[in-house]
Amino acid sequence: MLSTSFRLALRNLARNRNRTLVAMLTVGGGVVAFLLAGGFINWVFADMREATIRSQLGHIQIVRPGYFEKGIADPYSFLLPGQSKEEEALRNTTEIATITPRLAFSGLASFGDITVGFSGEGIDPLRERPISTRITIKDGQDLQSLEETSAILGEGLARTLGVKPGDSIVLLGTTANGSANAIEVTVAGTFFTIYKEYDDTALRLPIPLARKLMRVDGATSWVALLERTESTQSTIESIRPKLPAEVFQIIPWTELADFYNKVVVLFSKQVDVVKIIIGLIIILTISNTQTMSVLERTTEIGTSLAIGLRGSDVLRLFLLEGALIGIVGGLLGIGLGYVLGEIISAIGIPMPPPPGMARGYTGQILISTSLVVDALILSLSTTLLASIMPAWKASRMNIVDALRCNQ
Amino acid sequence: MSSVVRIERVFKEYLLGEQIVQALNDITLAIEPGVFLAISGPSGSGKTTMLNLIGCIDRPTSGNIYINEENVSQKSANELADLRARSIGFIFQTFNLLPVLTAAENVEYPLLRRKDISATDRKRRVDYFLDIVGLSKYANNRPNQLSGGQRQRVAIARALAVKPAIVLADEPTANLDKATGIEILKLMKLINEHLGTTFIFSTHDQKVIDHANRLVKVEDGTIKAFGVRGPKRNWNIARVRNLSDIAAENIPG
Repeated sequence: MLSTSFRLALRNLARNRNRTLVAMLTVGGGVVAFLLAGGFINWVFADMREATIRSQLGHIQIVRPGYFEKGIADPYSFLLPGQSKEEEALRNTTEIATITPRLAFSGLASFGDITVGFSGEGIDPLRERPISTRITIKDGQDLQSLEETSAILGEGLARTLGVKPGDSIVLLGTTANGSANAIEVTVAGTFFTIYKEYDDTALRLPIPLARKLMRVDGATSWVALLERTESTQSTIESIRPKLPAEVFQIIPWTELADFYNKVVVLFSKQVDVVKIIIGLIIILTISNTQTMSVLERTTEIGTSLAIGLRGSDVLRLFLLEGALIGIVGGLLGIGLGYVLGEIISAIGIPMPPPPGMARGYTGQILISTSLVVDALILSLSTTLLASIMPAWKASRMNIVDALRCNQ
Repeated sequence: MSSVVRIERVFKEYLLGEQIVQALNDITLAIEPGVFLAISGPSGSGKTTMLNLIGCIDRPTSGNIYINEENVSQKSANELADLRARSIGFIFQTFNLLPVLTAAENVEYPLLRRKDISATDRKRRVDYFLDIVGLSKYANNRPNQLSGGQRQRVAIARALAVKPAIVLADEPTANLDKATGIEILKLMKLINEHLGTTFIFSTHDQKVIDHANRLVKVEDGTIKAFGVRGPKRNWNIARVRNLSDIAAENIPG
C-alpha cells in the first residue's frame, strides 16, 4: 500500500507540473535563503572562534585553581612553575600541537611625556607563534626570541603612546613583593587582532623579560593549542588525570571567550528568527498548494473513500505529497544554495567593522553538514506541517458530498 | 432465502440551508442475492440516496440497514470502509477512475488494502477482470487514453475485482451514448448471470429498466411499487398504497 501511495503521490505531483514546480521552488528558495543566511553566520562563528583561539586564548588554558576569579588582581599567588613534569607530560600529549607558558601582568608604559596603562603578557615567542597566527603584525616585526629586550604593542596602545617600531619605552610594574620596578624595551612592532579593546591595551614581550619586571619565576597560565578545535573537550578529559584538580584547573576556551559566546547567542537567535520567517512563508505557500490540490481532487477523494480506503489512507497520501515537495524542494535548494555559497565566497562579502572590532572583514558562506541537515529538516517539517490541515480535511470528507462535487 | 441487503424503516433527512429535506421516508426493502435490480424514479426521488445508504457511504437518519444480515447502522467509519472494501463494488455515472493510474492500477487500487490477497492473486484478479470486460490490451492505458465506454468497463472491472456481494451502479449509462450504454448493460447483465453478483442500479431510463429482473419504483422518497420480471419478460408489479405495506415479504415472486 505504501509503495502504491508513493507512486500515486509522485504521479499526483507530476499531474500539475507547474504548480508542483512553483511549490518546490518556493521550498528551494526558502532553503537557499536559510543556507546563505545560516552559512554566513556559520562563517562568522568559525572565523571569530579561530581568531579568538589563535590570538588570545588557545584551546585550553591550565592555571592554578581560582586564578580567573581572584588572580587578575593578585597573579603572584597563582603562579605555575616555570619548569615542571606536568607541563613536560602535556607537551608529549599527541592531541596537543603546542603548549606554552604565559605570564600575565599589568603596569604603566611611558614614552616621552605620555604614560598609559597596559595589559601585558610574557610569552615564549617561538612556542607562542602557532597559537598567535591571528595576531597580525601591522608595523615592524614579531618577537623573535626569548633573549631580546623588545615588545610588541597592540595598535591602539602604540597609537596612544605615539610610538613606532625602533622606539624605546619604559614599562613600570609592581613586583611580587609590592615594590615598583621598571625596564626599558624596544618596540619591535605593532599588531592588531579582531578585538579593538584588546589592541588598545595589549603588550607582549619575552617571558624572561616579564619575569624580570615582575621579579617572579613561572607563569600565570599554560596555553595549549590543539590540532582540532572540535577535540577540545575530549582532550581535556584525556589530560585531566595528569593534572591533580587541587593544583591545576583546566579551562576550555569556551569558558573564557565571553564576547564570542555572546555573539553566538545573539546571532543564533537571529538565524532562528530567519528560520521562522522562511518556515512561515513555506507553510503558507504549501498549505495553499495542498488546499488547491484537495479541492481539485475532491471527487477522487470521494471515490477512493467509497471503494474502501480509510480516511487515514487519504491523510497519508496528502502528507506523502507534502513530504515529497519538501524533500525534492529541499534538495534543490541545498544544491543551489551550495553553488551560490561557493560563488559568493569566491567573490567575498565586504563587511564594515562590527561593534568592538577595529576592522571590517570580507565574509564568506560556510555551509556545514549540520546546516544542510537543518535545511532539510526545515523544508520537510514545514511542508508536512503545511499539509496537515488540507490532508486532514481530505481524510474527513463526506463521501456523498465529495462524489457529488463534480456532477 | 436470506437477503443480501435488508433495509428496515429507514428515514433520511438532509439539511439544505435551513430547510430539512426528507430524502427517504420510511423505506423497508429486502434484496435477494444475485438479482439485477433497477431503482427507478424521477430526479430527486431518492434513488441515489438509497444507493448511498446501501453502499454504506451515507448513514440513515433512523432505521437499520443490513448487508449480508450484518447491521451496518452502528459501525464506525473505519469498519464501514473495510466493509466496502470487501463487500461492495461501485460503478459511477462519471466513471470516477483515478486519472494518474493506468486501467490495471485502477482495478488493483481497491485490493491494495486487502491483506488477505497476495500480490500474485491481485495480479491474477486484475488480469481476469480486465479480460472479462474486454480491456486486457488497454491495461496500461490511463483513463484519458480510453473512450467513455472503455472507462466504464474499467470501473466495472474495479467494482468486480473485490468480488463484492453487491455492485452498486448510479446511472451507469447516463454519460454514455445509446449503443455504448446498451453494451455496458449487457456486460453487467452477463456478469450478473455468470458470476451471480448482485447488481443494484439507479436509472430513470426505460431502456435500462428493461434489462433488470427486479424493479423498485421510488417517488418522493418512498417506494411506490415493486416489480419482478415474469417468465415471459412481463413485469409483475405490486403497488404500495400504505407505508405499512412496504415489507420484504410483500415483494412478489
